[in-house]
Amino acid sequence: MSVTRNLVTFVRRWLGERLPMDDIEHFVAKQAGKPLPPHVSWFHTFGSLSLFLLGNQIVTGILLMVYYRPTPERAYESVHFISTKAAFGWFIRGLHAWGSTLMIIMLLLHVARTFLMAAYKKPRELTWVIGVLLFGAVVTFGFTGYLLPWTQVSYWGTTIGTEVAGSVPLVGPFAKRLLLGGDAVSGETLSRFYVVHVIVLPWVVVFLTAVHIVLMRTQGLATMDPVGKEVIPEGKSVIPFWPHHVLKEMVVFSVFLAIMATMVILLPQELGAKADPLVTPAAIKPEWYILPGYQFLKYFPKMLGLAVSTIPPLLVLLLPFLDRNPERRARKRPVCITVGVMAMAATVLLGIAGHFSERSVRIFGRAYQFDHFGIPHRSPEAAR
Amino acid sequence: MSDDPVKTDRRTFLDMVIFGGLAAWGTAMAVPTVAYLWPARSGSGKAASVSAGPAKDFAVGTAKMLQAEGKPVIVIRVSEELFRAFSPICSHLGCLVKWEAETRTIVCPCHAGIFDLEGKNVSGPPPRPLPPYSVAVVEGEVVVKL
Amino acid sequence: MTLRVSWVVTSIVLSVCAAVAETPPDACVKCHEKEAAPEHVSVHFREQVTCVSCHGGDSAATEKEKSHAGQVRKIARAEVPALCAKCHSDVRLMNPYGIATDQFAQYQTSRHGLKLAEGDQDVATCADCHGAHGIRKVKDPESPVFPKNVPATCARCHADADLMKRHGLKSNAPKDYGESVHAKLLEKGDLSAPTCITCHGNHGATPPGVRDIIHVCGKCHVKEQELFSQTKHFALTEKGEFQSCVTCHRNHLIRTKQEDIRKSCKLCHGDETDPARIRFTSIFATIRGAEALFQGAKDRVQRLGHAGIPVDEEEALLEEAKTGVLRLAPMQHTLDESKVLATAQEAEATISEINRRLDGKERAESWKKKSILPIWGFLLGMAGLFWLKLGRIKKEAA
Repeated sequence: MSVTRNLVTFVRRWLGERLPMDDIEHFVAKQAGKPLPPHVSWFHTFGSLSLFLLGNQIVTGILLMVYYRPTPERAYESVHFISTKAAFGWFIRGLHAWGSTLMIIMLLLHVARTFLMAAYKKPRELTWVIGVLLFGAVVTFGFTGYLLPWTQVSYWGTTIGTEVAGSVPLVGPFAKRLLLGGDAVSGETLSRFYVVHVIVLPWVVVFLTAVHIVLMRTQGLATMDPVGKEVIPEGKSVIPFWPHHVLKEMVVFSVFLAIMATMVILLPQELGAKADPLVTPAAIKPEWYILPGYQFLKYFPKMLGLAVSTIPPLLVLLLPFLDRNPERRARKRPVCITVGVMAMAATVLLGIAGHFSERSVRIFGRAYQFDHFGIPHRSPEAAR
Repeated sequence: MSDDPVKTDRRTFLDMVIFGGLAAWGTAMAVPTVAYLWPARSGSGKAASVSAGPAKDFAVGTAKMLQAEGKPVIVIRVSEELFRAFSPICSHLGCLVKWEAETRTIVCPCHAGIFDLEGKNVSGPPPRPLPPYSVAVVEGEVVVKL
Repeated sequence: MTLRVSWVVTSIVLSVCAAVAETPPDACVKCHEKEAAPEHVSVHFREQVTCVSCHGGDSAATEKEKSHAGQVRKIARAEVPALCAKCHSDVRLMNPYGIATDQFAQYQTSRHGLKLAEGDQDVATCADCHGAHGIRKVKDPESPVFPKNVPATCARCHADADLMKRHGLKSNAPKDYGESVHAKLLEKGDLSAPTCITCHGNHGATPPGVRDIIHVCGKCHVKEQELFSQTKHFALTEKGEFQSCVTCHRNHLIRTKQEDIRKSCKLCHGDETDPARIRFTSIFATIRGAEALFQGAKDRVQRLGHAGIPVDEEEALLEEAKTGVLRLAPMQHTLDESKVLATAQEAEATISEINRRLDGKERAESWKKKSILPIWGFLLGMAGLFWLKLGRIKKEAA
């Protein structure tokens, strides 16, 4: 025990002679002991779970890169190798794949919590804007990562996804060519997506996350008081960040990890068939988090659709500047909450419509054919 | 640290269990990582190859059947210098073809399809040639690249 | 002498061709639009064999009298083969195209050719199968004699009940063929699958004699022929008391299902105590067993593959087992139950190897699933510890 203590003292002194250790210790202690407002609850752990998932994606991503080869000849084979031959490769790939899905879910919950508690209001507008940008970056992460295993589904999913970009008038074909590195999804596309996925986006996301966290720490968590009347939390009711909130987060984190491991083991990520540019499989759909937007575009003619479809993200991005109501309690801002909840419901409905569109489904023994717009019709053979 | 010895003991015990748990947790995550990084049977990047044994044990005009990465491979020594390798799955209905030394052809036993030494379908129902693999003699050993 | 004649014919035809090449081909077209319409796809037209090459006349002349010039004629049915043969039996002319020149000779030996010589106007001549105007290459998928189209082309006459009755023939052959495995393969796009002409011949079309059947089938079914040739059935065939392949498989239906073959067996070996009956019952059971085992293994590999378990090696072994099971079909022609059994056992050994490997993989998979429990135990334990710690800190603060 005393050996450890001596070692700590030695390192402390050694560093103290070279760095302003007192300032650093003071800073860490201040950060650790920072009081959180009393309303901080289990809902405030979604952000830190997203942060954990970011770490998970980085670590498992690095491990996957060890065996992954970004060429059309080897990509599928190398992913196949990872999930069949490399020890625990299936687990690491599963963590990465499920991690990406869970990350988007956690971010959505995090955004919903922030919205409902109005934590985006002055002075935290920038934190919100950066958060929305982060969400966009994470979706792009998902989109680029989706192609990398070079399977039929990923190849054709990407083809459909980039088709949307190509349909923009004037700049569309240009943008699509730039995105694909050619006229169709090919080895060039794989190379580009790989670079964006493993170099560009990680740095962007890490940088934005750092800014996001620094802003959050310097401004402190929002209270439920109206804008301008915020009371700095103090006294007996506050919750210290360390160790109280951290322990709480560790409890959530442990359970979350167990759930994630269960998903990886029980719901393995199937690899499917290798990409074949000459055979289009039936019923190709984008990933679930792109579906609402994909479905939304169907209801408008191309040009108008793209103009219209930029509006919802813009509204979300600029929300802190549009919502001037100083109140934070949900009951006191009925208009904003109603519009927000309706928008969330509409997104979910669009996603469901997108999921069922162009599919036939049996509901209570009756066959329904969902058309392009997701509207169900009794199947002709059932009607007869 | 508190002055009450009993209290201190209890707290340190809980702390020790927590630290022990965290250490076990860390180990449990490090072990699969190292196992994953440990070189497996064959790398993912390098195109796999399979050996058909030493060239001196391979008589001219004979053939060998190998299994590599779960795929069958037929290797034929055509002459002193020349080796050829093909996927022996007949392009007709998928039977495994055989080397026939007397006629120096590759024959499918199922429907009498015949392939020549280039793997080209010369007679019978097979619609396509046999997919070839490249063979080389590396340090006296016959190696098929997949 | 013959050389001289052929030389003269060649030079005449060549000069006709040369003349045609120089003249606008539409001189005949002006009036004979209907006949000229399909000619744009014609392989003859492209090679400068035009109207006048067959019909005579002068395509350079623009007036009817001059262009017909007393020699234009409608070609009579009976004259068609000889007319085509003028070029198609000429070795020199056909050589560059690599087309056989014995077609006319073959035709003359065929049932069609013999009947035509007797003056029967119903039989097929060249034009009935190949077309008259707009003749395409055999390799052209639109050609009536392209492999896929052959059954329909023959059926034009051979499925005509009245026509066939007039000649004392049955009209069910095309329908029967349509139900055969051969037709199923052809439908699948296998151009090497046998059509009518594979067994009957094309230009020399004639039904094979009973003793020839084994050779006709043996063209593709080599192994079956070889094994069958060693059996009692073959000896009976030689004596003319057994119709080799078609006795069990029928001629056009080509039955392959066990229950159908069994019916054929029972025709001679119907007696319960007949040792042959006991034998074929056992052979069929062995084959059914091996096939069921193979199907079971195949389904299992597929199922586990879908469940995310890597099965590449098992799939390769499955190929091996498939070859083994496919060998059973020829093997039963030996009529020797021990040989069939030995072949089946070989295949079954591979199948049990597949199953053994899959068992191992399934065990590993179940271990994976069992690991969920300790993971939950550990992590919930940790969560409990953190919770405990939090409670203690709160109590201390209070």
